[in-house]
Order: sequence, then structure tokens, then C-alpha cells
Amino acid sequence: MASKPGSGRIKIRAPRRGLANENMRFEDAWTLLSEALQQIYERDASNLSFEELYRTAYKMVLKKHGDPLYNSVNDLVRTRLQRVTTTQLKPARPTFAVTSSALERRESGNRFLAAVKQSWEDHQLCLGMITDILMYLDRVFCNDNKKPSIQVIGMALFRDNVLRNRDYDIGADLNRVILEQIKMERDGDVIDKARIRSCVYMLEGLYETLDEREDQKLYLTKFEAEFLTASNEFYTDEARKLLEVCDAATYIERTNDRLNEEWERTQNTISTLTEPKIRAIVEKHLITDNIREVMQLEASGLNFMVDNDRYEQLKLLYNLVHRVDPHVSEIRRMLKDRVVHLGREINKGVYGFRKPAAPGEGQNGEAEDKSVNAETMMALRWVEDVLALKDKVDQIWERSFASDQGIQQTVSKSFAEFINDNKRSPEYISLFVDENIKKGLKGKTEAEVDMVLDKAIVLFRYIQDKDIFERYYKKHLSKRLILGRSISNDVERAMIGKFKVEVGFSFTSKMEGMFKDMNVSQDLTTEYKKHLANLHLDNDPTIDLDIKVLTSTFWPWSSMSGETTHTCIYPPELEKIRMSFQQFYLRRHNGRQLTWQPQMGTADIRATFKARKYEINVATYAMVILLQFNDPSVESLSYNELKTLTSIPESELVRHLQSLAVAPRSRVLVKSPMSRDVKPTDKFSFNAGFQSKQLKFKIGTVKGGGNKVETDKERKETEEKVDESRAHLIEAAVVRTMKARKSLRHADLMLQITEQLSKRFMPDPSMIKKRIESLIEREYLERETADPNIYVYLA
Amino acid sequence: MLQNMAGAQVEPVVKPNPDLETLMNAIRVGDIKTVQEHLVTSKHHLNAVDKFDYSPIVLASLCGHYDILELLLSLGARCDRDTFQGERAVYSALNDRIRNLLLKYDYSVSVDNKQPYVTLVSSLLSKEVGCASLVGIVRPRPDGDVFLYLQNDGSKLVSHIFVLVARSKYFRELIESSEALRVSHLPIPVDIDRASALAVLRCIYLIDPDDIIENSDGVDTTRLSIYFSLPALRRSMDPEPGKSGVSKRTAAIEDAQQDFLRLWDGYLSVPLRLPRDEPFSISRLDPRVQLLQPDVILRVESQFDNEVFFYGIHGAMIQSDFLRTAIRFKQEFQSGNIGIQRPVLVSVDVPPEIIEVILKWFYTDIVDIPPEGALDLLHAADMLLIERLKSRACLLLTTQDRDDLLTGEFGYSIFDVARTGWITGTFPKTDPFCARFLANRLELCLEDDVIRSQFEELIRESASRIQRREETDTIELIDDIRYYLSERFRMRFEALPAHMFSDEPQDTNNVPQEPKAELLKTDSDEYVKLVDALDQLLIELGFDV
Repeated sequence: MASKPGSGRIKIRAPRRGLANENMRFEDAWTLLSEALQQIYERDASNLSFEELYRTAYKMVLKKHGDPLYNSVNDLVRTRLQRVTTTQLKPARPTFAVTSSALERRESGNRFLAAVKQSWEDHQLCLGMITDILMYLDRVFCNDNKKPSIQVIGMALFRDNVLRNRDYDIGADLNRVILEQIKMERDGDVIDKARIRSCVYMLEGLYETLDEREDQKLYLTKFEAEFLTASNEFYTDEARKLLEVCDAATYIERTNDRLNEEWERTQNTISTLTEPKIRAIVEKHLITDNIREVMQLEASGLNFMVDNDRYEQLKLLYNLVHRVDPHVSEIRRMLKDRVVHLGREINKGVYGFRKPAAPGEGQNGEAEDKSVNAETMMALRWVEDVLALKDKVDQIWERSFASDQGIQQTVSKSFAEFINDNKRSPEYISLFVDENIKKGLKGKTEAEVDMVLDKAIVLFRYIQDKDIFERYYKKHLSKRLILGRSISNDVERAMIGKFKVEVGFSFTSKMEGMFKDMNVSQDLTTEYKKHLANLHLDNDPTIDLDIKVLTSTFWPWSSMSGETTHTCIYPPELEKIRMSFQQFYLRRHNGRQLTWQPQMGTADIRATFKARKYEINVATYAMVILLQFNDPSVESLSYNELKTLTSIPESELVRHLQSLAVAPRSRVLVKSPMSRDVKPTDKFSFNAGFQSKQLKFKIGTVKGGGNKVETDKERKETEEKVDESRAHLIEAAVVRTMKARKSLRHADLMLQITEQLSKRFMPDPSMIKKRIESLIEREYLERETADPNIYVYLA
Repeated sequence: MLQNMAGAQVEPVVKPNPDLETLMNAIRVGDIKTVQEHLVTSKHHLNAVDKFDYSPIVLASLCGHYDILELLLSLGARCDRDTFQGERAVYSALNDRIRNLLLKYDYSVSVDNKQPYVTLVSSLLSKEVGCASLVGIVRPRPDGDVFLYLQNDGSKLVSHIFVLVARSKYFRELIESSEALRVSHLPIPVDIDRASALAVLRCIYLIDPDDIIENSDGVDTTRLSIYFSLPALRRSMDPEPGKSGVSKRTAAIEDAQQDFLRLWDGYLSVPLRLPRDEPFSISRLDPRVQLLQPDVILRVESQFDNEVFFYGIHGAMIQSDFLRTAIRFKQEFQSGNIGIQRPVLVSVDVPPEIIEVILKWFYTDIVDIPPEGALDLLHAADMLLIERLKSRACLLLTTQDRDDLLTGEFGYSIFDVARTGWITGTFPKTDPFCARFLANRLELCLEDDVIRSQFEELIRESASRIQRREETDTIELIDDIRYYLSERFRMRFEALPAHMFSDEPQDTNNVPQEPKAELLKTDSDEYVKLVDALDQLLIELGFDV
């Protein structure tokens, strides 16, 4: 950075004092400058010497003429602007006369806007040039003396002398013209947006004060409020008009259009600063104030849209409501009402069906059978209808409601509400699963099966009394397992797995136990066969025993066997093998008790009719009956004889005789007299002339084959059982809670118990009270002497 | 580091300040335009802190606005790791790129001073070549005047003839051997691919290798540096043991300065001299200047000879707000229908000696002027609105503590310095210097009649300055002189051994005590005498003391 000592080309000569000593008269310099500024205003700047003008201003500042220069420039600009106002703007004054046509008004407004725009642009251009020339004044004089820069002062001058001209208030006219044009556009006319925009830019570039604070833009202080007031009026009116003439769909569309239109206006015509404010106005008038009314419109409102799957309209509606209420509570309320309503319609179908059957309760088996069969169909249809409704609502939720979480909750609540309205829903849903696992799934892929089961789980979730469902499901499951009706073990297990995920291990442990029993039994059968082989017994190897040993606690006995105890005198060949197995089993598991359940079993037997050999699958009881005819010496047996010989419970005997002797396709016995009903006096004989097309067939049992809905009698029993088990659960919960807490107020205890059990069922408060009373009687708890509202646990 | 933070120098705490809030909010949202506009008017906000103790750079760093951070730093925001704010900015940097930028500005002072110059040179390269963020915002980017035509893939890169000539021997020879009157295309051999060409340009334009985001792997810098005679390219890329990135960068910048210095000395410093009445024509310029395709011609009137000097220069390097505005004014408002005329002719009312110093500084960042010229340089820099050069001139001015400054024999006098300080707005720096200078030589100021009258005049001016501002009784200049006068004598007292001021008898008998006490007494008398004389002078001038 050192100087070049050798070069010497640059020699600093004696400094010029010229500048410091030169005398300068303000008037001379100002004459030069003001003439130049006039030329600038006349658009004749091409011959000006920028350097000279700058230097003049520079010298004036150095010579302490900064102040007068600053003021003179102000005066010059002010005069200029005042003249512009009178000569250019005043003549362009717009007409607002009521008599003039819209076209005239628009044209005159346009001319006025153009004139304002022109004067603004001229001002900006000239001011730019003036600022350039007076740069030194700005930088040094204004800075040192804390005066606003020429640019800022120039803007303020424009504001005061043009927009707020004392002679002619252009600002007010400008607002009025712009608002009028916006009104025209709202009414559907085409206007010159760009021109308005440039005037708005002008208002945005001008401020109330010299320090140019952002919130002091003229646009905000003078224009925006008027615009918002006008908009408020317009939209109050608009909302009323729309409500009068439009249906819901049109209303929603128009509202959406208006919102878009206003947004576009803030982008292209006025300032984006206004966007949130005008949006709030439109939203208030068109959505907040009226949307409820629109949604409730009879023939086109929300209900109509939901019923007719108007996805697009619902979506629009959702978007609109979501703008003003992120929780969309109005939609949720109405949607809930609608879904519950539709659900109750489905429920009604079921009740409507059941009513007529009710009086003839237990009248005769056949009629009851028929009605039960039909009701089973009804149950399945109920589930399918509910699922269809669920699908429909889910579609709407996904396609129209943007998968809104809150709406999902509402939908769940609505479904839970009407599903629990139907007291039979747990049974129906279990039946639905039963039906699908038994046959409905044939020919479906695993994924499809899974889908159906998932749907069932969805409904399961809505059920409040999960314990009732559990009861039915276990009953249906046990039948499927024992009768080998389920098509796939995997599917069964998958289902159990799903329950486990939903409500936990305690719910499914018994069902899993049932599966375990099935597996153990299979092994047991194999081992028993091996055992027989080892014994080398030469006696009749033709009986092949397949045994299922069921743990009594896992299986729903009562619902499987009814009240009657099942006895049966087995024919000797069977009795022998039964004893053999019993010995085998008890030797392995000492201390256990085996109870035989012949009513659950089946047997494959061979029989010869007309020299044709058939293989027939019959129930164990039917086999016992048939074996009575095995002896050729037996001609015929009366009902009473059979009863004595087999000691099969009467109801069972009747049923099996019906299927063996009455059912037209499987009449292997002949009954006389030939009638539908079995009477104690009837005689039965071997039907040697029986023939069938198939060599292998099955004789089904009349009633009791598949899972059906319960008769009212059965249901009563079920309910009693449910109450009983609930009582146990409640007591257990009370004891558990009290043991941990030692003493607790009544209300708190009720709350705790309800909370603990609500996962399985909704406990009835009076029931809880009864259980507590019972526990006090049995001295598990006592009431505190001082305050009977408090329970104390007794160890 | 913690120690540093404990000893933090927090900038003056600002009361709730809506202006500063505006700036801070603009920084938060990354609105560089507002930030820039704001800082033009309120430069004092550059290092201010808000109610959260955020300074602008801390916030820009935190929010990850690289371009704003760069703007702030190039405007001179302080980023010193030894301060709390600096440390905080580095720590809260959003990513490594931001962090590196901050650390780069935390260089030694020498590099720091060069930063605006380096930024200027780097910004000449257009965005497509990788200059990260200065796009058309920090300053209008001058368009280049030559295309590099890549034969490899047929694409073109924009560049500047004068930069190429300055920085690369390869291009210099290529341009000088060109037969065309105006070189507008330079072919790049087919074996140079685009990535390599970009690497070369980045090196030429001093773009910091740290800023380069694009992958430049596979560029053989050694081969390129030989091919284009660019030793700097190899040096910048090669890892050199024992040399930190900072010193390498410093060296690279100095290399570039030397290149531009050669360009100035060898090409541009030769003006066209014409008699005052003769019309200017570009074809009359020195062929070597013409070769560099200047887009601005400075017309300078020589004061003594009846001659006018014409300098061909490049708008890209001009750092004077006056010149830039003049060029823009002529192009925008005065080009008429003819379109933009090149080159633009601008007259400057500064003597050739000074303008040459200024132009040389434009190109090289080197201030090359003997101390005698400092005052004129300050005047010129003020008129041409070159803030950075003003402080450089001021620095030179206030380091000339010599007696002939009092008499004016040096070329200008101390009174000129004081006045210039006031006029040019640099008085915060010049005033203390002048006051101390005068205090140290107060005897002469009071005794010599010529000097005394000048001194009196200056006091009057100082008084008028104050009265114009606000009604107080003090005269700034006198206050300062009094202060430095007491300082002058206090320092003499303190130079004496401490025991002289204690009452206890001293054991060291071999030190004669009398003369020292005597000395102290003389000094004290002298001080009182001078203060009295100064008061007397003021009374004579009609001021209250």
C-alpha cells in the first residue's frame, strides 16, 4: 500500500482552495437548479448536465445553503403538484350522478383513474431524477439535520397536494371510483383491474407520516376501511339473496366462487394486505351466519347429499365450514343425526320382522324353526346393511371430509349409538362371522377373507356389551369346532387374534383354550390308536374312534347341551370301546372326570339297501337308533321301545327319528303311520327299499345343525347367564379396587368400577349397588360408621 | 470460550424500537429487500440488539438466511468470535455453510478490510457460475462484456474482458492477439469441460472455495492452472500442509490485487489528453485501453494545463455512488431513442492526480497517495460519495502529527483538517486528532500572530456549529482542547516516579529530589498559564468562559 517512490508521475500539487474560497450566491445556484427541475417536469431532461447539477447542489450544501435549497425544492414540487391537480386531474373528475348510466359512470371512472395513474407515474419519475441530482443534499444535509429525505418529502407532498388537495379532494373520489368499479365487478361486469391496481400501488406507496411506518400506509388508513364497509354491506345482501333463491348445492358453489373471486381481487386488483380481512367478511356472512340453515334445507341439504353420495358437494361444504370452524361441529352434529337415523331404519327392519312371530312363541317346533331360520337370514342382512352404511359413510369421510379425525369420531359414536340400540347386535355380528367362516368365504382369497373379518371387527368395536358378544361367539365357535364346520383353522385363529388386539387377552383366553383342546384331542386320538395297535386286540377293529376331550371351563356347556342331562345306552360294541378309551385316558390323567356328550358326535356307518352299499354320516344318537335295527330278527320297534332301549332324552329322540324316518331324502326307517309328527305310539322299521343316488350321504338332524339366532326363550336364558357372570365380574372388580384403596367414597367406587368394566360392558349402576350390598352382607366390606357413604375394605 | 462470553461486550441495549423490530422481522422471514432498504437509512442498526439480545447477524444465522447474512457482513456487521454476539451467531448457525461464512468474516483485520473489495469482484460473476446469493439484490450486477464459448458442449459463460486480462496470461495473450476491433467471444478449447471452465472463472473472480456448493470433483486444477497461467488456482485447491485456509485466502486476495495493480499501471492509468476544445472520440483512446472495452469514460479537467484528460474505466468496479448514479441517470433518463450509449461519458470535477488515486483504489483496493494529498482525497471522496475511501483518507489524515501542519507549509494546515472534518461528516474521527494536535502546540497557537488569528477563526466556526445545533454554552473544540491539555500534563506527571508524590522520606539519597519537584512545579505553572491564556483568548473573542 506504500506509495510508489520511483514513479513520480503523480505529483500532488498545491491543493485547490477554490472550493473553500469560491463565493457562491444562493440565488444564482438556485436559478440554475430550478430551471433544470422545471425542464425535468417538462420531460425535457436529455440536455441537462447531471454532473453540473449535482455539483451545484453539492456546493450549495457545502456553502451552508442546504436549508434554503431543501425548502425551495419542496416549494417547487408543491407548486408543480398543485398545478397538476388543477390542470390535469380536476378536468378528469368522474361523474357519480344517479342519472348517468352504468356505462357512462364506468367510462368516466376509468378516465379519472387513468389521469391519477398518469400523474402519479409522472411524479415518481421526476422525483426519481430530482433525488438523483440532489443526492448529496439527501446524504449529507438531510442526514446531518435529521430531515426526511427528498424522496420521503416528495411522497408526502403528493399526498397533501394531490390526494388531499384543499381545492378538490381527489382521495375521496379515488376511493369512490375504485369501490364503484369493484361493485360492478362483483355484479358481473368486466373492469380494468390493472388500472385500479396501479392506483392501489400508489396508495400503498404513500404514508400518513414522514417516518413511513408500515401500518400507516394510506391504503390501510384511508382506503381499506371503506372497502371493508362496502364489502360488509354487499355480502349481507348477497347472503340473503342466495338463501332466497338457491338450493344448498348452488349456495355452496356460489360461496366458494365468491371466496375465490375475492382472493383473486386481492391478488390482482387491490392489495394482498386486505386478503385476510375480506376473507373474514365473506366467511362471516356466507358461511358462519347461514351455513347451518343451508345444511338443514329439506330437499338439498346435508341429509340429501349424504343419502345421494354427493361427494363433490359435501367436499365443498366441508371445506367451507372448515374455514370458519376447524372442528366442523355443525357438520358433525348433522352427520351424526343422519347416520343414527339411517341406522335405526335398519334396526326397524329387524324388529318389524320379529313382531308377528312373537305371539306364537313355543307353539310348535316347526313354526318356531321357520321363524328362527328366517330371523337368522334377517340377522345376516342386518349386519350387511350396517356394513353397507358404514362403507357409504366411510366413502364420504374419505372423499369429502378429507379423512377428518373429528368426523371419524362422530361416525364411530353414531354407529355405536344405533348398534347398541339393537339389543341383539352382539348375536347378529357373531352370527355374521359364523356364516362367513362356515361358507361365505369359499372361493375368496385370503385378503378378501381378511377384509370381511375386519369389517366384522369394526362393528365389534361399536358393541358396548362385549361380554354378551363373547358369549355368543364362544357358542358359535364351539359348534363350528366340534362339528368341523369352519373352513379354515387359520381364519379362525386370525379372528381370535383380531379380538385379542381389540380387547386383550382376557377376552380371548377361553377361545384359545378351545383351540388347544382341539389340538390335544387330535394327538390323543392318534395315541389311542397306537395304544390299541400295541394291545393287539383282535376284537372288531372296524370301529374307528375319533375323540374330542373338552375342558369344561372353556366351553359354553349350557348353550351347547341345553338343560337336559344327556344319557344314552350305547350298544355293546360301542360301550366296549368307550370303556377302553376311558381307561386309557384316566390312566394318563389321573383324577379327571370324563363326561360323555353323545349329542355332539357324529358317526360314519355302512349300510346295505337293495344290495347297494351306502356310507352314511349320521349323528351319534341316530347311529344308536339305527344299530337297534341291526339285528335281522328285529322287525319293528315302537317309539317307546326305542326310548327304553336307548334311553336317549325324548326331545333328542324325536328329532333324530324325524330325520331318519320323516325327512323325504333320508328315509332309512319306515314310520307307521306315516305322518310328520312323531308320536309315542308310532312304530319304526328298517326301510329295506331305500335308495339314493349318492353312495355317500349325510343325514342331517332336524334343527340344531348350524348356528341360528336364539329363540326368545334361549335369549332369556342367555341374558340371565350374562347377568350372573356380570355380577361376578363386578364383585371381583369391587374387591380388587377396595383391596388396593382400603376405603373409598361411594361415587368414586362407582366411577372406578364403571371405568374398569366399560371395556367389556356398560355396568348398570343398580347392579353395582346390589353387588356392593351383597359384599357388605358377606363381610368383605363395611360402611364407615361416621359416614355411610364411605366403604371400608375388611381384610 | 466461556471466558470470552463472560467478558462480553454487549452493544448498547436498545429500548423497544419499532424500527429495529421491522428490520428483525424482515430478517426472520428472509426478506432481503426490506433488510437492505432498512440498512441504507438506519445503518446504526447493523450491530444493534433487540429485546432478546439478538443482533441482526445472530438472527440471520439462526434462521439460516445465507444471503441476508452475507449482506449484513458485507455492510460491516461485526462478527468477532471474542464477543458474545459473534460467538452466539457462530453457535446458533443453522448449518455449516452459514457457520463457515461467519468464520470467514472473523478473519484478521487485514483480510476483513478487504472484504468489501473481494465481495465486489466476486459479485461480478453471474449466478449461474455459482456466486451463491448476491443475485441482483446487493447491487445491480454489471453485465459482462464477453462470452466464453465452450467448444466442449457449445455453452457460453459471461465474463469481463478487463478481469480476464488482469488475472490470466492465457486470456491476456488471446485478447491481445485478437484481430477483431471488439472482442465479444473467446473460444475455450474443446478439452476444457464446463466444470473446469467454471473452476477457472471462480478462481479468477476470487470466489471463496468455501462458498462453492457445486461438486467440482474431477477438475484437474493443476493442468488448468498451467493452461490458463493461473498459479492461484492450483494453490487454492491443493491442500498445503502448514498453511491455514485463512492465510491461503489472504494470499489469493493479495495475488489478485497485484494482478489488478498491473492492469492499472500497464493499461488504464494512461489517460487520453486532449486540448480543451477538441471533441472526444473513443477511437482516440490508447489502443491498450480500447482493448479493455471500457464502458465508462471519465472526463477530468486539468487545472493548470489547458487540457482535458479522459480515462476509460469499467462501471463494474466503480464504488462511487455519485458515479453510479450519474451513469444510471444518463442511461435511464437521457438515452432517448438511441438506446443505451456505450461508453457513458461522465465529467468529474476532481484533479487528475486525485482521480487517478481513486481509480487505482477502485481496481486494486490500494490507496496510493502521499500524506500531502490526503486532504484533497477526502474532499474528492466526499463529493463522489465513496464512504469507504473517506475513512481511508481520514485515517491517513489523522496520523500526520507533524509541526508543519500548524504553519500550513505541509500543503494544508490543521485548521483545514478540522474544517474538512466538519464539512465531510468525518469529524467524529478528525476532531479528537485536531484538538489534541492543538493542545500539544497551544503555546504556538497563542503566540504566533498568524496562527493565532487562524486559531481564533476556527474557534468561532466551532462555536457557530454548536449554536446552530442546540443552545448550549460550550464550544466543542475548546472542550476538547481543554481535555487534551490536561491529558498532556497529566501524562507528564505520571511519567515521574511515584515516590515524588509521597510524603515519606526516601532512602535513596543518591537521587536528587529537588530538580524533580522543581520540574513538577514548572509543569503545573505552565498548565495554569496555558489555561488562563486560553480563557483570555475566549474572552477577547466575546465568549463566556
